[in-house]
Amino acid sequence: MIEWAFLFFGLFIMFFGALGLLRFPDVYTRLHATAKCDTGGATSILLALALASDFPLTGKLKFLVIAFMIAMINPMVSHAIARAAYKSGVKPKAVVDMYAWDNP
Amino acid sequence: MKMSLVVRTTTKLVAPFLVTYGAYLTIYGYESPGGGFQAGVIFAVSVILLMTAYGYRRTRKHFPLRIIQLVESSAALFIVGIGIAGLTFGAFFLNFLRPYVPGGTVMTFNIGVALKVGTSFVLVFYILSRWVDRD
Repeated sequence: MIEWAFLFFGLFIMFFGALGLLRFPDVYTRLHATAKCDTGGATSILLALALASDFPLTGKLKFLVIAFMIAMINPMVSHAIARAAYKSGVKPKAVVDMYAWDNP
Repeated sequence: MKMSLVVRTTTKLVAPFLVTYGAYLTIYGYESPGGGFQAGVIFAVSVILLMTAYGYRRTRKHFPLRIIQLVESSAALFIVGIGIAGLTFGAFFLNFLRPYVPGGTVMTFNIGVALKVGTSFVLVFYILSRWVDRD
C-alpha cells in the first residue's frame, strides 16, 4: 500500500513540472521547473516499482542503482545548462539580476 | 578549459559507477540484454565525461595516447586470435571453451569487442579535441 503513495507523489511532481514548462516565460524559470521532474518524479516512481515488483533481490537492487544515478547526475547537468546559457548571453527577464553583481 | 566546481566533483564521483556498469554488461552479455558494443560505449563515455570536465591536457596524463593505441590494436588481434584458435580443435570459430568458462567463447568475444570499441571512441575524441585545445 505504501508504493501507491510513492507512485502518486511522482505523478504529482511530473504533472506540475510539465505545467511549469508551458507557463513560465523565461529560460531559467522553465529550467527551474523542469529540473524537479527527473530528480523528484523518476526516483519516486522507480522506488515504487522496486517495492511493488516480484523480482528477486538483485532485480530490486538494479532499480535502486538506476535511481541513485539519476538523483546524482540530474542536478549537475541542470546547473551546467543554466551556467552555459548565462555565459552565452541569454539575459533573464528579471527585475533584479543578483548574479551580475558579483561577476560583471 | 575547466568547467565549474560542481561539475568536476560530480563527474569524479560518478565515473567509477559507469565503469562498474560496463563490466556488468560485458560479463553477463551472453544471457541477458547488453553485449560488447554497448559496454564499450559506456567505457568510452566514462572517459569522455572526465575529458569534458577537466580538459584534454590533464586527462592525457592519466590516460596516455600510446597506451590507448596499443590496447586498441591488441584487442583486434585478440578477437582474430580466438577465431583462429578454434581451428586447431576442428573447426573455425569452434566453441572450445565450453566446459571451462560459462558461456564458452562468447564471453571472451564480448571482452575483446568492449575493449576495442571503448578505446577507439576515446581515440576519436582525443584526435578531435587535440587541435581545438587552447589551454
